[in-house]
Amino acid sequence: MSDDGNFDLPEDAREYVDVETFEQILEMDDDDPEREFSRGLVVGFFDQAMNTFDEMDESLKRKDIHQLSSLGHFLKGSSATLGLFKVRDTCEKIQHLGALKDEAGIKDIDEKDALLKIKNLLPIMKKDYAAAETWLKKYFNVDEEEEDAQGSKAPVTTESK
Amino acid sequence: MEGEGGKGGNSTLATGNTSDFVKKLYRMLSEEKHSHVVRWSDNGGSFIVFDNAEFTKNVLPQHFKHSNFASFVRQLNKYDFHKVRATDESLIQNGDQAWEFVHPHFRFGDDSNLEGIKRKAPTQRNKKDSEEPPKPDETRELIAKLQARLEQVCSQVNNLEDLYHKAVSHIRFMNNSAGYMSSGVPQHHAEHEIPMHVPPQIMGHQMPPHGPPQMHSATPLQQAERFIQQQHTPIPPPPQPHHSNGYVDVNPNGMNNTNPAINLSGFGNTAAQSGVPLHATDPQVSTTFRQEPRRPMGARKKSTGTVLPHWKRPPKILLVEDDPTCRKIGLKFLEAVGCLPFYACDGVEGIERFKDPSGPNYDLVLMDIVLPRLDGASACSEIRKDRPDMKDPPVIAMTSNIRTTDINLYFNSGMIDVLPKPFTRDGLLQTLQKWLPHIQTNPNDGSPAASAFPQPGSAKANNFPHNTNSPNSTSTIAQQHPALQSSNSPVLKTEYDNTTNSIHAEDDIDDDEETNGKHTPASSVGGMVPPSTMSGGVVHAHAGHPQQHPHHGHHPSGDYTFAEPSVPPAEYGNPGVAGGVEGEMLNASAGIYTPGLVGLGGPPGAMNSPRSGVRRQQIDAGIHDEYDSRMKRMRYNAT
Repeated sequence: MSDDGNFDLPEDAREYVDVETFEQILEMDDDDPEREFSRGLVVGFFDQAMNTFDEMDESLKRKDIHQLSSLGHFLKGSSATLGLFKVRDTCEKIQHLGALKDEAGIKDIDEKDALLKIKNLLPIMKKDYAAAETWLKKYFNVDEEEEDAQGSKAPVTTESK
Repeated sequence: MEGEGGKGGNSTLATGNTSDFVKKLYRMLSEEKHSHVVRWSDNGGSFIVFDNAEFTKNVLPQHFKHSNFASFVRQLNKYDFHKVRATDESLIQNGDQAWEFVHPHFRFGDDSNLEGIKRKAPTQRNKKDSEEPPKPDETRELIAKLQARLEQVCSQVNNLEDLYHKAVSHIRFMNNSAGYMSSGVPQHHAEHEIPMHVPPQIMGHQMPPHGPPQMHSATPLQQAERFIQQQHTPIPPPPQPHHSNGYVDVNPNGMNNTNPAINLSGFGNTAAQSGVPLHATDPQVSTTFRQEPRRPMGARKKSTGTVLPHWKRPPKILLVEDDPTCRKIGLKFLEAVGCLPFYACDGVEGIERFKDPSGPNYDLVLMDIVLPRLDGASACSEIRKDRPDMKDPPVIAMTSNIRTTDINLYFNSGMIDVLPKPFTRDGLLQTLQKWLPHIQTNPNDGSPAASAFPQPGSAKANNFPHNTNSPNSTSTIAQQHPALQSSNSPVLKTEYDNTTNSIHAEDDIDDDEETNGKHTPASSVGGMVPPSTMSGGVVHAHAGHPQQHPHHGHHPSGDYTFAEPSVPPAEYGNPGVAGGVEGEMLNASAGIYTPGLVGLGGPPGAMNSPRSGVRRQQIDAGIHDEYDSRMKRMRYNAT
């Protein structure tokens, strides 16, 4: 346990994740150098996010504003859990817009407006997400998964980067 | 040198107490033929793997019967070896491929300490279990003690149940009266049905400064926020700048209708009559809330230092959550704090699980709100059909939608508390501790439930000192000089700053608590209130020096205990009996739920006080809510 709170996150971590939240998850690995838990969580989230993006695109095409709101809510939950704050914030906006409120959830707006705004937000969110994903993959050495030793080396070696 | 080490090694290595892994490791290092791949460091205090690949391929299989470097490292970790960070010097010396590991007892040529290298116990609790198998007579004694305690607790529970039922009926009564008074407002009727919520009170307090109609569609939170706005602003000038934070959908122009004439009879007035200066609360309230986001990073990192509660048995928790990521982390957190977690993926499944006669008897349910098939609130109502007592078992709403969702709905449906998402381990733990006092053993702790109704005196004693230490001094001043409140933002600003400055004071407090041995100040879980102050502690923490409680930093909206008693009784200007009751209430920390209880418990004469307390708590909650986004931002900035 003595290592906890000292995950040697790369310097740029806070550009992508809420460090506190993220470290909290890393803590759950309980010194497992392979980071089975957090890694699995993150990899699982990648799928979830991609699927949700697809569904969002679909819903946008169908102009299913309600569905967009609920997808926003859904992804907000998991991205917040992992500390991906940019994705989370955009999701929240989409959630509000889908409920025909402005981004902050305050004023009523009309559907056309909402759809337009969501349409503009989606690419931003995907971009933020992609950046975070890249960062996470690097952190967890996801792409080198097949090389056992290397894969496990990831979390420990990040410190020397 | 290897020879020497090897020789020495035989003496201890032969004895049985050193673990196999350590023995193997020591032997491996004793073999000179590997020394180009792995050997002791020059000072003998650590060992170095120079060639990872070679080591994995040739050395590991010989000594450990596998060739997986990862598991080797994991094993090392489990035995509390640590990787030595590469320094420039060591990079030059050993190359950048080198892995150096150290353990204080693992030294070249000194095998006498090898027995001290033990596998780390996964959690504190387990460690205890495994290291000290109790002797039979001890066990018997323990059982006897536990039985005695159980009886004690049962009777306490009975008392509490009585109180609870009284409370419920009281609150009903109060709500109904309030409803009656505001009967012009249809929307309110729904709210009257629930025992546990506060709107009438809030409304009561809000009415005087406010025009009533606008608020009715609002949640108590929103009403509360509004109320605060109102209070900060002497007379309803149009919307304040920071409304934009999610103050929300209620209705933007609502603020303008001030109608002092609409004075709600009843509760609003009682507060006024009681001489409670309404405005007094606000600065203070905001203070508390404001501190949360500022939880210093350093503190929280040590959160694993959290002293886990000693559960009498692992609490059985049902987690109803559709999002796989949240579910996984939720289950993991639950496990990490010693619970036995179960899950369901939607509302319908949640009910099925809950009602499954062959399933476990859950101690607590964590219920997401937005769920497929059936939402969490409806699922909870369904559960409550058979189990009307809100504590049997407690159902906690987990939601990130505090701001826009009607909190009333949760309480109406029989949920007892809210855990804002994303939740943290500490926040979760705190909620569990709050609602599962009966399955914790805390030597120092009279049952927390009991301390929910402490003697007024002690309650105050608990709360006051901290309050005086708290960064609230300005607030207090502001209370005394209403003029200071006149502008909203400046007050906020000041208090933010205060918060920052208050850190030292809090350190001191921390130290004090340490001397009591109640918790390690190092543990971020300062927030993990020391057992003995469990209920009181939760509160005094919030009340006095919230910064100490890192979990708040995690989720600014707090653990949403409405009971966060930002306002100490004294400052609240409500001394005497009422103050005492307030104290109790603060101590109760049980959120919306408890205040009512306490109000009930108190003499009728003191009613205004609990009520105002409730209102404050609501406000507090409101503030959390309102500032949620801001706080998030602050957190990021802080990190």
